[in-house]
This record gives sequence, C-alpha cells and structure tokens, in this order.
Amino acid sequence: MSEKNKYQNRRDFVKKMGTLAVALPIGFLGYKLVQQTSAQEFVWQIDPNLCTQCGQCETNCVLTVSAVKCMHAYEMCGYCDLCSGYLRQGVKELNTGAELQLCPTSAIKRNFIENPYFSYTIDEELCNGCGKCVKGCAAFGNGSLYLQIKHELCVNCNLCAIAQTCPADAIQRVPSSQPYLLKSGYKAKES
Amino acid sequence: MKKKILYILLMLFIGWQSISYGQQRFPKPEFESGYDYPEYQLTNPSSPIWEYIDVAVLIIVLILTTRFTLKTRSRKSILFVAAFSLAYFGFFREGCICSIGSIQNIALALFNDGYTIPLSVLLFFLIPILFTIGYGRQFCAGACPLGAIQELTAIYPVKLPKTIETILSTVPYIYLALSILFAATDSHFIICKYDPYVGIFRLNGPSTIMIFGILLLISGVFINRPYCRFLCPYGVILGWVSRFSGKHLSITPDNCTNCRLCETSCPYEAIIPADFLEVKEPMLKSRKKFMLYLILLPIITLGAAYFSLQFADNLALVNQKVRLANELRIEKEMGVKAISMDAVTFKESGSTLEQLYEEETQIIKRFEKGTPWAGGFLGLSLGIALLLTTINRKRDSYKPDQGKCYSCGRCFEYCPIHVEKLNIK
Amino acid sequence: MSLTEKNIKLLKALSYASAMFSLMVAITMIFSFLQLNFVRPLESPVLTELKKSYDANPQNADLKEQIRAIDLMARKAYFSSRWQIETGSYLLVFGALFFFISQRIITDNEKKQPSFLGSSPILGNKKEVRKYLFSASFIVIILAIVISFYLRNELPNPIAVEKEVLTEGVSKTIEITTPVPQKKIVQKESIPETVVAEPQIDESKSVAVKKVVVEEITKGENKTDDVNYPFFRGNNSQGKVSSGNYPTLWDGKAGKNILWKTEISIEGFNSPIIWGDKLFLTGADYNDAAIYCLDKKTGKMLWTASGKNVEGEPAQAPETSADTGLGAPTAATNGEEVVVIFATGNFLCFDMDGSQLWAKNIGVPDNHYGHSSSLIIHENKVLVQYDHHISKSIMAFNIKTGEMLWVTARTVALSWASPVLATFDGITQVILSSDPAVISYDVKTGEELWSVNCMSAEVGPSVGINSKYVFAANEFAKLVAIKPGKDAAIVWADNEYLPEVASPLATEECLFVATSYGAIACYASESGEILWNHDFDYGFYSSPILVGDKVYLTDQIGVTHIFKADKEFVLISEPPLGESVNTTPAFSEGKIYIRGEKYLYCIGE
Repeated sequence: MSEKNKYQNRRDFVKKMGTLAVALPIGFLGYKLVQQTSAQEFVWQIDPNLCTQCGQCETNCVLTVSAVKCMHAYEMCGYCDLCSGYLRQGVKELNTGAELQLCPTSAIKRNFIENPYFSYTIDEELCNGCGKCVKGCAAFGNGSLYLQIKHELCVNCNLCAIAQTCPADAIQRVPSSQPYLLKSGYKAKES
Repeated sequence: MKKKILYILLMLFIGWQSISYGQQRFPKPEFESGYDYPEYQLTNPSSPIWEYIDVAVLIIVLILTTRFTLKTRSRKSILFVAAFSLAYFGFFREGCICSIGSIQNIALALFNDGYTIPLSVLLFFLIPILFTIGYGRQFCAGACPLGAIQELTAIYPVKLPKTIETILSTVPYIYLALSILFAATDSHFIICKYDPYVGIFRLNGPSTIMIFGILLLISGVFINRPYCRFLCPYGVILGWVSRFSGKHLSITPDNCTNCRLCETSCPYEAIIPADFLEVKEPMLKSRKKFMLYLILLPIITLGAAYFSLQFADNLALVNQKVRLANELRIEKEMGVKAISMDAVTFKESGSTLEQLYEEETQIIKRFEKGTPWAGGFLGLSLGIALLLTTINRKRDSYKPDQGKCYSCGRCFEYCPIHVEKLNIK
Repeated sequence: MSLTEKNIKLLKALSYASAMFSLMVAITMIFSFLQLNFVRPLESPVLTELKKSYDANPQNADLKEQIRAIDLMARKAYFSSRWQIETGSYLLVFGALFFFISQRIITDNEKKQPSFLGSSPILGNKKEVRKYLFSASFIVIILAIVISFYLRNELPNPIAVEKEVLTEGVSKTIEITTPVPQKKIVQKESIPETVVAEPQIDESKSVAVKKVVVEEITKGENKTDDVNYPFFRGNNSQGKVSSGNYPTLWDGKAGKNILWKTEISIEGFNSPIIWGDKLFLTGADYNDAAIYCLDKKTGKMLWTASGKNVEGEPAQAPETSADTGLGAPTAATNGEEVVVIFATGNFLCFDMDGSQLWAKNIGVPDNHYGHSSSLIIHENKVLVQYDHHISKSIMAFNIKTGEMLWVTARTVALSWASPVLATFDGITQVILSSDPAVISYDVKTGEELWSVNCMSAEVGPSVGINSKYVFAANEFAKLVAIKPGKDAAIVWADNEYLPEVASPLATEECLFVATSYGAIACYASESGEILWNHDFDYGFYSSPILVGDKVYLTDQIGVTHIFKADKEFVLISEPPLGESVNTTPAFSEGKIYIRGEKYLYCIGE
C-alpha cells in the first residue's frame, strides 16, 4: 500500500512539476507582452495618398460585396461639367447616358447645380469599390474621389485580405478612436 | 487652353505652395445659388467595449463549462453552452477575434517592435490556457465556436484507421510552427486565411474557404471534430498544458471498476484503458528504447532544425516583398516580363531595385533565423512522442488522455456508476 | 425525450426535406457565384467593343440605344447574382440548421448498446505506435521536399545578392551590351566623320578600345553643328547648340540687332529649321496650309508650296484649340529633302528647291488640342509620332519615296510631345514621352527597346537627354530621371517644378525646367536636388536651348531670358522681341531666328 502511495506521490510530484513547467513560460509570456499591449483596438483604413487604384479592393475583400467604397471629398471637388471620374476618356457628349459613364454599376449620380457646376454623389448601395472613377479623377481632375474602407461593412479581420495584396502597401491599422483617414478639406458628421 | 491659363493664374493667387502630390487642377467653385456642401454621414466601427464584453462572456462560459464537466457532469448542459458559444462567438461576433488566431498576434508582437497587441487579444490567448492549467480543455468543450460547431454536428461517429489518424495528427504541429513563423516575420496570418468555419459564421467569404468549410463540416458529421484533431494549432498548446492540469474531467464520478463499458464511447480515441488487457513490452526492452530515444532526442531536434533551414528560402516566398523582388529579378535576368500588379506599381513608384533587394535580404535573414526553430520544435515533438511510448505506467483504471480529451462529456452516459449516481439524484 | 414512431418518421422526412432544400440553394448559389466571378457581366467584351465603336461614331443613335440596353442588362445580371448569393446564404444556414437539429434529435433518441472492443486493447502495441510515428514523419519530410521543388525559384543566397549589387555598381560605367557597329555610319545631319566607323577590334585590348569607341560615338551624337538646325530643338533634337558667337542683346521693337524680319502670312506654332542657307517654316489655318522657304541671310522668301490638295485629306480641317492650331508640328530636313506634316494628316516631302517629291495623307489625327508632335529624320528615315484617340503609333517612312518602312503600335494615351533621338549603349534610339510611359524605339527596326512607366496626364514636353540619363516631365505628373537601357529604371523623381509645354534641357550637371507659370528651376542631373529656381513674370511655352555655356529661354510675351548654364543663377540679359512667342528659336552661324506671332526675326550683331 505504501508502495502505491509512494508511486502515487511521485506521480503527483511529477505532475505538479509539469504544471509549473507549463505555467511559468505562459506567465512570463503574458508579462512580457503586457508591456507591449495597448487598450486601443485597431481597425483598417486605406491611406488615400498611397492608393494606386489597382482594382484589387473590389476582388480581394473576404466579403462578397467589398467593404471598400468610393468616398467623395466634396470640398476638393471642382464640380466640373467634364468630370473625368464620371465620364469615360474621349467621349464627346456630356450627359448622363450609360454609354458615356465610367462607373460600371452607375453608382455616381450627376446633378446640375448652377452654371457651370455639376455635383457628383455616390450611391453606396451600388458602388462596388472598383476604383475606376478614382483613377480618372486622380489623373485628370482634383483627386476628390477616393476609396476607403467603410466600418459598417468591414468585419475587421485580424489581417485584412486586401492589405495582404495591396501593391502600394496603402492599407494600415489605425486606432479605433480615429477610425477614418479622410482626404483633407472634408467636412464629416460622425454618427 | 484659355480656360487653363485662367485657372493657372487663379492658382497663383489662391496658393500654389502645393502639398503632397500636386496642385488642384480645378479651383474651388464659387456657388451663387446657395449650394451647401453635403454633410457626410460616417459610421464608427463597433465600439471597443465589445471586445471586453467578449472577454467577460468568455470567462463566464468557461466557468459554466467547468462546472458542467467537473461538477454537475451533464452532457446536455455542455451542449447548451456550446450552442450558446456558437451563436455568440460564432454567428453574432462572426468568429473574429478568436483564441486560435491570437497565436499569430502574439507571435507578431513578440518579434516586431512596431506592433502593439490589443489587450483583449492577449486575454483571449491567456484565459483559455489558464483555465486549461486548472481544469483541462474546457475551452474546447464549451467556449470555442469552431469546437462547438463540430461537436454539435458530430452525429455519426466513424473510426479512422490508426495510420491515417497518426499521420494526420502531425498536421497541427506543422500548422502551429508555420503560423508562428509566418506571423513573426510579418508575412502572413495563415490561421486566419485557412480558417474553414469563419465563412460559415460570416455567411460570406472567399469561395475556396467556403467550399472547404462546408466540406469539412459535412465530413465532420462522420469524422468527428476534424479541425480540432487534425488542424487546430491552439489545440497543440492546450494539449500540452492540459496534460499537467490540476483537475480534469473523469469518466466516472467515483472510483473506476474497470467494467470496460466506456471503451467504444469516445470517437476521438481519448480514453486510455487500464493495462490489464495490454500485452506489455518487457521492461528491459522499454528501458533500452528509452535510453536510445533519449540520446536520439537532441539528434532528431538538431537534425530537423538543420533540415528545415534548407527550406528557409522557399518559405520566405510567402512574404509579398520577397515574391516581388524575385519576380523583378527574373525579369532582369531572363527577360520574363513582370506583369503582376505589385511589379507595375513598384516600377511607377520610383523606389530602386537596390532598396528592394536590401529589404528582401533582411526578410530572408529573418526566415533563416526562425525556420530552424520551427524545425527544431517539430523534431523535439517527434522525439518526445517517441520517448513517451517507452514509458510504461501502471494504469489501474480507465482515464481520459488528458492531452487529447476535449471534455465533451460523451463518455458520461456509458459509465454505469455515473448513470447510477444521476438516477439517485 | 422519447419519441413515438410517427414522430420519428416525421422528423426523418423533415430532415430529408431540409437536406434537399439546402442542396438546391447551394447549387443556385454556386451558379450565381460563377456568374459573378467568371462571366463578369460588368466587364463583358461585347459592351467594350460597342463603346469603342460608339466613340468612333458618336452620331450613331442606334449604337447609343444598344449600349444602353446592354449596359442595363449587365447591371441587372450583376446585382441579381449578388442578391442571390446574399439571400442564398441565409436560406442555406437555416436549411442546414434544421437538418442538423432534426438529425441530432433522431440519433439521440436511438438507444445505443455499449459494446466491448474485443480482447484487443484500444491503444495498440507500443511498437505499432512508434512505427506510425516514424512513417508519419517520413511522409511529412517527403512532402516538404516535393513541395519545395515545386516552389523552387532561384532565390540566391543573401550574401550572393549583396555581391551582385556591388559589382553591378562598379561595372556600370564601361558596360557595353551591344557590339560596336561595323558599318560606316553615313549621316547627313550631324555626326562628323571623326566617329570610328570601322573598328578592327583587337580582342586582346578590346575593353579599352571599346571604351574609346563608345565614348566617341556618344560624343559624336551630341556634337552640334554650327550651320544646320534641321529639327525642333536643334540638330540633335536635344536642345543644344555649339557655342558660336551669339548675340545677347537685341530689341525687336526698336530694331536693335535685328538684321531682318519677314512677315509670315499664315500663322503656325512650329519652330523654324535651317539647312545651309535655307530656312523652312510652315503655316496652316482653316483655309490654307503652306510651306515657306526663306533665305536665312536676307529674309527673302525663296519659295512657298501648298500643304493642301493631298489625296485623302479631309474636306474640313479638324478642330483644334487656339493655342495649338493646325500647324503645330515642326518640319524636318536633311539637306536634300524637307518633310512637313499638318494636323489634317497631310504629310509632304519637298526637295530643297520646292518641288514636291511625294505627299500623302496618313489619316486625320483625332486629337482634341491638335496634333503637335514634330518630325525627325535619321539616315533615310523620317519618323512620325502619331498618337491620337483612334490609334497611337510611331511610324518610319523612306524619306525619298514616302514608303512606310515600319510602324510600331503604342499602348499609350494621347501625347503632344515630340520624338527625340539619342544614342545609348551604341544603339540609336528615338525616345517618346506619353502617359503612362517613356518608351524608346530602335530607329532601324521600330522595336521597343525599353519602357518606363512614369508619366501621366496630357504630356506636352519632350524628353531631355544627357549622356547618362533621359529626363521626362509633365505638369500634373512628375519629373523623372531615367537610366536608359535594357533594365531602364527611374533614378530620381520630383514634382515641385513641372513644365506644361517646354521640354526640359539636360546638361551633364544641370537639368533646366521651364514652367508655364514663369518659374525656372535648375536641378542637379545626378541627384535631382534643386540647385536654384527663379520666378519670371510670364510663362514659357518655348523650350530652353543650350548655346555654349548659356541657356536661351524665351517667354510667352517674347522676352528671351539668357542665363548661365550653371549651378548658380546668373542672369546675363533679357532682350525683348516685342511680339508674343510660342515657338522655339533656331540658331545658325551666329544668328538667332525667332518666329513671333506674325513675323520671323533674324537677330545678329
């Protein structure tokens, strides 16, 4: 009986040593990392100054409909009749005909304001984040259209799938207290 | 062109000290009709308080599971907690952030000074381990949404042949080693990328992952808990820790009478029977093998480390920068045009090839430092597994294998002592 | 929970039904997914083709309607597949949930009989376990090796990479990639006979000899001619003239140092060119087009020829903007023939006495400002950069017969820059700047030698050349220095001072950029550092020309700013012309020829 007890005690001892051997590194790891933690949570944003409008924002998001939408910095817009983000290159007429539009889903709406200004607004339900309008606006216009990740759609993956493949490394983590990287001159009311 | 000259003169007045990438081509319009710039509605991301609510829910769920597995011993309750975890952590919080993925964040934080790990992620990593130190794999039983979805759909258990099972159970070790390596070198988060069930939780996802997830789920009906047994990297850590846990689920609430009725109860082959039926290896042979494997242990470890070092270059290809540098090098030397988006953007950006090669060299060096550790870890695991086969313990009762047991409680109803106790209650 | 037989049957039927339902939903979802990702309705090639043909015929109302209808269909298809996938996934989840719950209830209800495993122990023989472990690791090792061979690219050892980079840097200066041309280079324009044309290269001292030869050739290309000024920006098209004694003071209105001035009846923004004693100009408006030949000494009109009545010319000249006009491209000559081109697509060749040798219309260029790329000649080929909305290409014609020798299509946007000749690595190439790339073509074959993506927007300035780099710039894009060659790459880039029209001038040390808002900047050619900048009152359309060690740059109101081509700004003089100037002056034998709005002035002491 005492043999068995001794055996049992030995086993218990080994077990306790094992528990300690396992708990210590975990504890040490925790301690080391706590120094490197922040209470901040992070969300993903595209830096509009780095974006090259490659078109992968539409296809690489894990969601079927990408969380990246085109946003319009109205204060930067020139309100031009010949909008290079709305109309295709080389078209002769300036109206809302489907044959003239750059946007494949017709998500940009053109409205007459006063002579010679037209406003361009984006219907986010229709926008799929392909960036064609952004490319046109950046090349020939003021660059007031830009792609950005919308937080009501983004599921905030641990590693953004688009960030993984972005050729310009434009997608970065930003603290959730300042969750939007907007183009300057932009008035926004946060909800 | 006249309009352009007007704009140019306007720009001279308005301010031609251009910032960043150039002047605005078309000036700000002056609206006479009283048009106001529209106010844009921006939605904030979900409040960070949710992350801490998740941690709190995790703790509560773990406490409940521990109570149900160790105290009240009710499989139904365990299943209900699991269903709740599936609904909350799985479908409601859409499976992110999870404890399994937190390994990557830990690896990234340990080896990259620029990354600060959010506290909630660290807690998601540590809390299940702490519970496991105390009570065994409670996390796998009731808290993990992936475990829950597998457990709840595990309806027709089928036994796998031993060879296949042993071979497949090496995969979690490789997965763990590679995911730490890739996360530490800031190349990729492969646990997140190849998480099969997250597509089901989000009802949305890249097609390959969705198909893999659905196939795995269907196969899980028969080969129960396929992800837990053959893929989960976190399970490797929990398995080791659980071996030395203070308390653990036991098949019988009381002393085991070796009635053998629980032998076929566990689909995960996690029950270690008593040794009275076993044909034991002669003690001398065991001791000899023990010495042999003890000597082999460092050899296997170092050999595996050296062997895997040869693959460091190839593994580095996972990194986007290394792939780009490679593509451009091939274009330069063999004239195969570099057509990828990365290459086109790089060429337009004006940064030099020399810079890129420098960065590539740095990354490859990191891989060369890290891969031997990964290989060594795998070699060590093999060595220890071999060593353990030579240790003969006296086993006088039926106990769960503390490393493998998921504390699911399936075996409770097979134990007559448990049934008796419940009936009395 | 014990269930009756009937309940079980019901549950079984329900679970079967839900399984079928889920399966059907899954199949429809797969179809929607395939449509969304593989058929890609929004990018259908039919639509693209139709849009292209609509652009060519914007009057066609049928096409318009067709495009609108197809576009609507495409968008409907896209959004409906998206909707199908979204709702389908919810349906699938509920179907699956139903299925699993019912299955669970059924199986839970079945009482299971516990059984023994038999006499064989569960865990198995230790030996077997070890065997499995070994075989498992063996398989893993084999798989790792196989996968690595599959992935294997020649990733060099990091140390080897460093060495490679180092040696590259050292050997750059005397790198010669092509053999020195053996045949004698017969050039009428510029290269003097000092070029070593028939080198018998002794292999033993090949490196040294080759080095000398290459230097001579490159120097030779850049050697300037004091008499002839046959292209836009001089006899080497790079904007450099040898130092002669050129005046630095004159006054157009007062007549000081003005030797003669001749009125040119038809306006045109092309610059004067000179061969021998003859000066050539063209002019074009909506009524007429003409080529003028003047005596450079006296200013007398020697002959004029008509640039109209060419077979294939359009009934009406295309619309152009006011500051481009129909006569923007500068003519070119080689001393035997003179070739001209107009924005109508009329392309004519005359001999030095005015007889027309050949004329053709190479298609009306569809260009919203107006075609402005000048002509250039190399050996017996006249090169035409023809970039407009419908097609973009560079063409070479036999100057004697007008027969097309080669044509290379370009995938670029419209460009208003002109081709520039240069020799790098022993190959004479013509370099064109447009959005998105600066591309170099072999003058002999038209083959693309190298291309660097760096430009954007509407490119007006042509490239600047020095012996090492090619400099391209455009307003609203950037200014880049490119190292040319097989692995052409951007050496440095900047965007602070960008020209709209004036082509940059590059010497070995400095790069001069003239903007259209009056600022001139001098960059260091090697590093891109801004050495100095100066603001003048009026903008520059005329390109800066290097005359010896001075730069002559005329602004839009006609004042020529003369400053030292140096790292510090030293203004020498600012002689006015008295007329607006949008062209680049010609320099020959100590006299400067500037074309103003109405008159052509000859300035000399």
